[in-house]
Amino acid sequence: MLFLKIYLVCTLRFSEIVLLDFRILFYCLCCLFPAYSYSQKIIRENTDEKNTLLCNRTDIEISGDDLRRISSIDLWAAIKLVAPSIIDNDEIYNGSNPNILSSSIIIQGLNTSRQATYSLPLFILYNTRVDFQKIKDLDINDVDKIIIHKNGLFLTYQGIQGGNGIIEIITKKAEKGKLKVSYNLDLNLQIADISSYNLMSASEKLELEFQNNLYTSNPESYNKRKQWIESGANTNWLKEPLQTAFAHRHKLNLEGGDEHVQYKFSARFAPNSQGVMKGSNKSILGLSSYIGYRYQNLFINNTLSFDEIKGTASPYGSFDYFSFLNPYYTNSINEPTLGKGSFNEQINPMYEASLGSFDKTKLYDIYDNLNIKYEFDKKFSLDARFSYQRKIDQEDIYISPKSGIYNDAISIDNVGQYDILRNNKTTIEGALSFNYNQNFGFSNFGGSIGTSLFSGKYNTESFGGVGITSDRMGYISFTSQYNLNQTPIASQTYENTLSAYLSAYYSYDNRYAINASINYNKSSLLARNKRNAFFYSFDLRWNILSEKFMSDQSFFDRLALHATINTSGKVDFATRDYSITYANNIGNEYIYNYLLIGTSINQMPNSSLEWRKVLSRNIGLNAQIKAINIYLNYYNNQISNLLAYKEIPLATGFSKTLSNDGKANNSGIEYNISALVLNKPNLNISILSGGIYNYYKLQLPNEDKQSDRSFTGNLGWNMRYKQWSLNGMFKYTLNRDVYNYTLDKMIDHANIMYNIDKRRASEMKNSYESFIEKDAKEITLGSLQIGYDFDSSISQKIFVNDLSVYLTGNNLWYKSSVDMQYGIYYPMARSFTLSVRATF
Amino acid sequence: MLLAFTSCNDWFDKDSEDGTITNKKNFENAEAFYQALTGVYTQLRDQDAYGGTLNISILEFMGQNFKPQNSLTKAAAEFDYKTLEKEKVISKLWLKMYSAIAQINQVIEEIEKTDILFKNKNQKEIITGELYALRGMIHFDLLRLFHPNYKEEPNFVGIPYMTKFGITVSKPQSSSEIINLIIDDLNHATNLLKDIDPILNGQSLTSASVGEIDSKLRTFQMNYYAVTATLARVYLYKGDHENAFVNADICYNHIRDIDQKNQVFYFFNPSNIGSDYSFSREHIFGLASPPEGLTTLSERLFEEQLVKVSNNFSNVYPFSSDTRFRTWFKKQDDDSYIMSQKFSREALLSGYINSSNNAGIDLPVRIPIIKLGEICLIAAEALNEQNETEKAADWLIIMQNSKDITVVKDQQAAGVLTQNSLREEIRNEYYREFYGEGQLFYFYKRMNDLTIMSYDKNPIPMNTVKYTMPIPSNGL
Repeated sequence: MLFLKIYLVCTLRFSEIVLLDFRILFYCLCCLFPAYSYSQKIIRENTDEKNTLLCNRTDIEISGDDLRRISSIDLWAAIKLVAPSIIDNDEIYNGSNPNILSSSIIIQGLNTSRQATYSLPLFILYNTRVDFQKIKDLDINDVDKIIIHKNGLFLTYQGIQGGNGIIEIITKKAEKGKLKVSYNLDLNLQIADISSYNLMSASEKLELEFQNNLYTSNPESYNKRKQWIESGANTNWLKEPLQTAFAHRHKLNLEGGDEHVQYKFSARFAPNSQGVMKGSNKSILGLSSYIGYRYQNLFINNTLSFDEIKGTASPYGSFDYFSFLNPYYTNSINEPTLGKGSFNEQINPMYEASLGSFDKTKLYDIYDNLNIKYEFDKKFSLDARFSYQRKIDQEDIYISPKSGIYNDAISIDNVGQYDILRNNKTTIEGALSFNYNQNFGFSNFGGSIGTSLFSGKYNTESFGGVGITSDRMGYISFTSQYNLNQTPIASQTYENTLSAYLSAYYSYDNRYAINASINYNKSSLLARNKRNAFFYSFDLRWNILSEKFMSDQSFFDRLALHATINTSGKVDFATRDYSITYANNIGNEYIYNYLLIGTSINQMPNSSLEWRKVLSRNIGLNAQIKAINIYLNYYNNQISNLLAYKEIPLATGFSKTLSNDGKANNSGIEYNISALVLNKPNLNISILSGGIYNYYKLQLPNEDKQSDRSFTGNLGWNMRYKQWSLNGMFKYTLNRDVYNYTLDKMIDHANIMYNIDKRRASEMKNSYESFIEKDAKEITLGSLQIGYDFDSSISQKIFVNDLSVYLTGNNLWYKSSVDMQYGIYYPMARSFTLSVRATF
Repeated sequence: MLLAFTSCNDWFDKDSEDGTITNKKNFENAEAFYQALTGVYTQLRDQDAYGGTLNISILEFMGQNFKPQNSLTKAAAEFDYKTLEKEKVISKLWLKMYSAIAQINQVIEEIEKTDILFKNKNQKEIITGELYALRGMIHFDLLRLFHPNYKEEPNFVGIPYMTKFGITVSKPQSSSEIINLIIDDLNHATNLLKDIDPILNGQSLTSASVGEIDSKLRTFQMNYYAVTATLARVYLYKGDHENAFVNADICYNHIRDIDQKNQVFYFFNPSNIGSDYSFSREHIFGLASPPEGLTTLSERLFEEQLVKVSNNFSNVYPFSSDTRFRTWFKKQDDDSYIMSQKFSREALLSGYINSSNNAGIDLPVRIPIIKLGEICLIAAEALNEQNETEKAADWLIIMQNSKDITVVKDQQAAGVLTQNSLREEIRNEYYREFYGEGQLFYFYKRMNDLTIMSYDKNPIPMNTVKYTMPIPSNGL
């Protein structure tokens, strides 16, 4: 990112501010992850044990083992591959960058309209809201299962936070038994994949410039460059910042316990994992402990974890800059400027990388989660939960005074810059619920009443100094003054949310079940006049197989139907959208040099703004026919209260205000099939396939209706032959609309002065619509894994009880109907991981 | 129980802050009111309002003082409001004016209910007074633009008089209702300011610190005399000569009551202009403008685009001694004149003290809103129309003296002064005094002239349609 910043600085005067603002917004919104509030107790209880058939879930569960067959180190990559309903919009920009988080993730089309700049689903870990960072850096080996909630009860429980869908992660509990020690080792190799680039060669580029009359006034320059090229100057700049990246990860796990006490301690360590751009890396240190205690009817468990994550951005900066470098310039680290004195000078990133400039982040995260359950008798129980998270991160960005961006600096007072961006976040969540459950003849009924409080505080601050005299003085203490072009940016964001819910269920003879719930939210995120939010859910399940008329068939081993209707919500606006707010007229003082600076009302607020409302309905089928499992689900989400600008009479002093006038509808079908196609003692093969067809319609007032349809699916197999296993998975997309960055000439630097992609040069499109490629088709071989489980008789010779070795390849191959660059700010990479799992 | 309930509500009242501050929190501090008032002045000097459209960008072309250099100014000179609105000139002006009014209304609401203590004496009343006065003044200019001549059509319903911040627009009202509301607001302001405005004592030598009301800077703000001057202007527009004179006369008290060296505004001695080419010392109220504001606009129009004065120019300034003629304009090689001097970069307001370091600074040219010259013209006209021509002549003589011309004085001496000749000379002074200031269009409209002289010296027939800007379609 550093270099991105550098070249933006040279092109746009105040881009630094823009960029900083962008980052801060990003951080701030990353923290602002949706609230999670409730104990999932009753859902768990319904889904577990004897009622499994009746309460088959409306949402797909993915087991940790399935995820580990996809990737042995990267949880998020595995989730995206296994769950076709997840779309990560930033993937093609961020490539394989280890230090960046996506800002736009869409589940089942729910937030396709992307009302907020950063739009993410809710992440739930240990029953608590966490941010994306925590999920992304979670160890995949700790995952028991994940559930992607797209409709139903669970969304209703999250109230104003559930509207974008929820990704819930359930971690493994400690296994009872004597002390078990296990060790995981992963060795990872990444190779950049830049095959999607198609840049001009030196002679092609020069010819294009010539044809565009760039040399009419300066033929000598043309001849000089032609001579360079004839003498062999043709730099492939894309290769310059790349490396084969190596990383190793270690994890030690201790667990055991008896009926009363269970424990689990783990430590993981991944030092300096390289990225495919030189100098970029990430380090993780994670410690965690779990202690469970049981005494008669009291259960207590506590999870405590600490993570330290450090990242360094490549000193070569943003990868796309290399695609802009003219190929007739030669690679040298000594020249600050390429093509010095010519009409198209470019800052030399190789020189920049040789300086002391850097962009580093560090993050500390402490998290504690305490659960208490007391069972009064078979019928009544009480659940209490408390969690606390504190996260601090800091980014330090240093631009050396020798950087090429200061070539034109007149005074040394402003050269060299050091910026610090700090975020910190504290969240506290507490919940209490009272549950009742009773069997009565064929009937089983129960209910739950509970409340929870969430309090979150998020701070962001940035400040910087300029005027550093020496390249190696990379610290803010060496700056001589504040940066006058950039005011410090800071924000304090709060969320205080209360929720209270009531839920009841009834089932009869393992045939019918019904569940009705309501949830009330009150939150500081909501507009003063509309601060009470209610949500409901209602669902029916019918286990057809338990009916008498089905008792004499043997075709189905399971057959159940479910239907759900529920509401959830999401807050897409900020304080200023519903309250009158003032901002300082900085840079616009009233009387020149008199320090008399006024304030102005920012915008016309709408004090009756309401949260986005999602009404979800779905109906689905769960069936098992011999060795084939089928899950089918039709859903329809009516989304109302989408934010839209409403024009208001100018006599109010403003031209527009936000309203809730937008509407959207999102419907589709989702399926999941797994089949054991071969099952012999030494060989078994199963095939898995999932897919989602989604149709999205968006209607904002005074705008044309927009619609988007897409199909995304995956196809994979698991094969086992004796001790060997071979697993793989493809992911594919049909008729999705893709924004073709490569054809967009509005991009900065999509300029004949700089190198351009041949496709952009030949086919420059003018209108926004023409960058959108309809019906794009893409296919990726996301994962291929070969594994070997050692026979315990062999492994025990080296004092290991269980020993397995896997080799996993990710992103090995892809094909797309959209001819464009992939991996724009950071290249894509093929990844190979050798993993060893040993239990002593 | 009640306590628990309130504190519970407080828990949900936690507002996020990100470079903006909520209304509630903002006005917990006395200085915030002064800053919000300053914000109103800053909005008013926007190029879409008093910083351009209402003078040299558009309104002066409507007053036929300059020759149009492009299709937009040509449309203005031809009263082709449709073409003007294609470039959103009218709706932007409307929006800027009402946006300032919206903020005024919001601050008035806050300041009238606040119970915080203002540590600077009288600051609360002064700010409240200025807010009311500005609300009246802005509505008056909207009335002069969007309503036809007052006497012709007092029942014309056009603009709304906005007194509340929010998305509801008040019902549009008739000219006579609006003018009464304007007078009410201005009178309320005079009542608040009449005993406490620091301008009443003239300039004090002690300098005020940032955030305090500085007597030296009162003419950058809607001070007490500016309110009475505006009242005089409004009464004259209404045809109430008695009250017009009373208020003009009160305004002139500053000159009578204060020692010359302490006067905040006064007539220049013609030999003592210095670099203050726009005669800013005569501004009773003007809006501060940064160098990239009026100065830059003036450079663009008069030096780059070489916008020329009207063909009638030599008839406007028949006397070469006229300081306005000598100071504001520059003769070109082709003998034509451009107004490149009046608002130029070299025209500086000297003698101000930077409050941060007490060093003297020169300020860039400011936007004139109401001037001492107009007070003399109002007083003269009001008296003349009440058949007190001799007294009226004295007012005009004071003004002409300061400009180094002697027309009325000569007429008086020669005994040829009549009510009509004085009327004629008042009209001539309107032509001379407000060149580049956007006042001439209002004068023509007030006089309901059925023919005016175009920039190329041809008669233009005028009518109500030409005199009345149409309210933008999304205005109400």
